[in-house]
Amino acid sequence: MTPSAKTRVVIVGAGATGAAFAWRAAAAGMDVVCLERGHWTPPASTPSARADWEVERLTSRSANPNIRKGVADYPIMDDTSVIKPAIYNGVGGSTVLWSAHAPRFRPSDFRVHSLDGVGADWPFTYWDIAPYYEMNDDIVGVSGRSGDPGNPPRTPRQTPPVPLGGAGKRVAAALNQLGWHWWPTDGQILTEPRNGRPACNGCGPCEMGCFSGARASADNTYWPLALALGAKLITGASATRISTDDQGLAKSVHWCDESGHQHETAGDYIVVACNGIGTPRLLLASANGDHSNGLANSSGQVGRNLMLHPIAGVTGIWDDRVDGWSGNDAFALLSQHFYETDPDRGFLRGYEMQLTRSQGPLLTALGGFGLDISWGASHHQRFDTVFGHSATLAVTCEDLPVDHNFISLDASITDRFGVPAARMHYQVEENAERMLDHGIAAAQKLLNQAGARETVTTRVLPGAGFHLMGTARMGTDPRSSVVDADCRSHDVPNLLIIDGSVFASAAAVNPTPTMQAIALRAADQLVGALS
Amino acid sequence: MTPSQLCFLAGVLPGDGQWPCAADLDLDEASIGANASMLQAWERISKWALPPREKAEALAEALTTFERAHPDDFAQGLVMAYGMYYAHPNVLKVVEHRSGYAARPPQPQGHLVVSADTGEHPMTNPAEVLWRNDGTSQSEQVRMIQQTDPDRVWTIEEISTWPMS
Ligand SMILES: Cc1cc2nc3c(=O)[nH]c(=O)nc-3n(C[C@H](O)[C@H](O)[C@H](O)COP(=O)(O)OP(=O)(O)OC[C@H]3O[C@@H](n4cnc5c(N)ncnc54)[C@H](O)[C@@H]3O)c2cc1C
Repeated sequence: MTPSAKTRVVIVGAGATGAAFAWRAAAAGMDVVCLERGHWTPPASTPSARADWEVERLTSRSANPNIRKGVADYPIMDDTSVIKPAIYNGVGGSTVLWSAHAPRFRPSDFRVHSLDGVGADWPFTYWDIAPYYEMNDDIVGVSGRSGDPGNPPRTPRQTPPVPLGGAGKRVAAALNQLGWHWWPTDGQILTEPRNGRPACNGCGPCEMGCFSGARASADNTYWPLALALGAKLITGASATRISTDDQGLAKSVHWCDESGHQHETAGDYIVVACNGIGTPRLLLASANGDHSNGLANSSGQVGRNLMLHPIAGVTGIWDDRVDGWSGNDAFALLSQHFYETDPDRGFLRGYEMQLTRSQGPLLTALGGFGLDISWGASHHQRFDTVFGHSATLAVTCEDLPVDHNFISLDASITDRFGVPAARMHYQVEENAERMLDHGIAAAQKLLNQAGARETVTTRVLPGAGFHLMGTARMGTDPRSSVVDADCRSHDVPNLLIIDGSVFASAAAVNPTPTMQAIALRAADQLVGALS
Repeated sequence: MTPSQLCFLAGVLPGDGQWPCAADLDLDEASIGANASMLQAWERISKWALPPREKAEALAEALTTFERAHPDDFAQGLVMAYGMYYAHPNVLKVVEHRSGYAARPPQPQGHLVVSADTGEHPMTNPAEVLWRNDGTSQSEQVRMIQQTDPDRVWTIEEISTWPMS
């Protein structure tokens, strides 16, 4: 079979990875259909142009689906997890609300077992996906600067880096004084107009959606290209299960439209891209007579090995203004000084420090990022000293796969189509606890060096459940992994899983560019196998 | 707004110097996108028996007691109170005056960010390659080139040959 308009690929999930795969497969001439439970989110609906924008960040635009309770959201039981889920269900997936911080994994991240004896190696290396990182960067548009000695070389970035801002200047100078690595961050945010999208105007709250389109999300990058190539996207289509035929191949996706009517879409290949929670949920809910443990789950690894990145927030408060509310809020620069393993530190692997900015008046008043602002007579005095005077270092720690962190089904609650809720089980593992101690102390030292008068610390940011990895991991051994290096299920050869579920390790950086690179590579490998 | 809700506002945001007291602002629940759980908590707060705002100390004490007894409602009440307050044009003018933060939503104008020039603080020791050799031949080769020629401009074609080397 050669890839052609006759090879039908049915993708479930139109987020960061589903969109990238759709574009690449459509470009190769395949007949692509994508089923997405949510809808388009028009940029103009982003609340950041309304007076109560910050309230909506806590309600209708919350990243936690259990708070947002949108029409496309499904229940995720999170009382068994110290970190709560942060996802979005709609065209573009979670990138509709993401911060667009776009670092890459390092070569050692793919070889953690060989190098450090922890976790699992990937069945390919950094060098295999390096070209796909580049391909992805070109589609989405990355601001930054090449030449970082902390990472292998990359091509010149599409636009210059985002501005450092007031706090960034001070922290960069302090990093130089300490002799610690830093570099302007790669971000999927344009600082100059490109391909019909404008430059960022520094408004701040990327995580409510981008009003202008300067920040990339899969709905304003990959989807227009994929649709132009003939890919079909069906919105309001909630997949309830994937069925198999008597040869053990995936046959079709069963789905419900919003009025509850049932449909079935058959494909030669079925590609699951529902993220690290939605994917195991769908696979486990697809259990049938031949796959009683769930689809693609003879290894028992579907849902296991959940990795999230525990993130500490260490906030510096300066006497003078740093105007932290100006500029994209989540990143200005990063330091990977403590990224690689150094056994003298008392833990394996490492962490990254990412300088974020700060928030608007309401979230500051409510004590975001650990700011202690009480209500009552002293409220405004404290508000005056912190609002516009603070910035936060996010200490992102590598997570290791451990038994107690996983996704399961919880049949006590279902979505409106009868599919059980996902349940998140997550506690910070021991190695990461030691890393947090080290990272928090390093961040405090850095902020003090940068002239901060005071620092406040949140040991683990509870809302930071946005990096969802490991729950259908890849590997060479079908007994301990779910998919192979090409993202194809060991058990069901025409079933692909292409999102962060397939990660064998978590690294200590934001994962989405790596997810998108893997999705692009998986599409090419499939096309290559068919040619 | 009920008398208890006004007392709640006066107790949590009594005002200070330029900052107005929340109870004096004619705040309106409908002006913000509150969700059902916020509105339900706000409704329950309307039934709390609170001392009048003139008795500031007693009011603060009563609120502390309610906060301990009903932490969830209190927290949601704070989001309601602060949400209405910090979206009010008079308050935003004070914020602007005291911090420079423009008294308008972030879009469509955005904010000017200082220090666009990242070159101002060049990284210490840019020639020292900091990523770890992963044990592959590509790692060896690329590290060596990067070490000797840190400013080299790489092309996608060169990077695409890495898997083959
Ligand atoms: C607030 C926030 C900030 C973030 N910041 C960053 C960052 O700075 N850098 C970074 O790298 N990452 C960041 N992320 C994470 C990033 O968004 C995700 O890693 C990425 O979007 C995952 O891509 P995906 O395709 O796996 O899943 P998603 O993008 O989540 O897409 C999955 C899609 O599948 C759909 N779906 C699920 N189940 C079904 C079903 N049964 N039927 C049909 N459709 C279904 C969903 O509706 C969704 O649209 C952030 C996320 C959030 C929420």
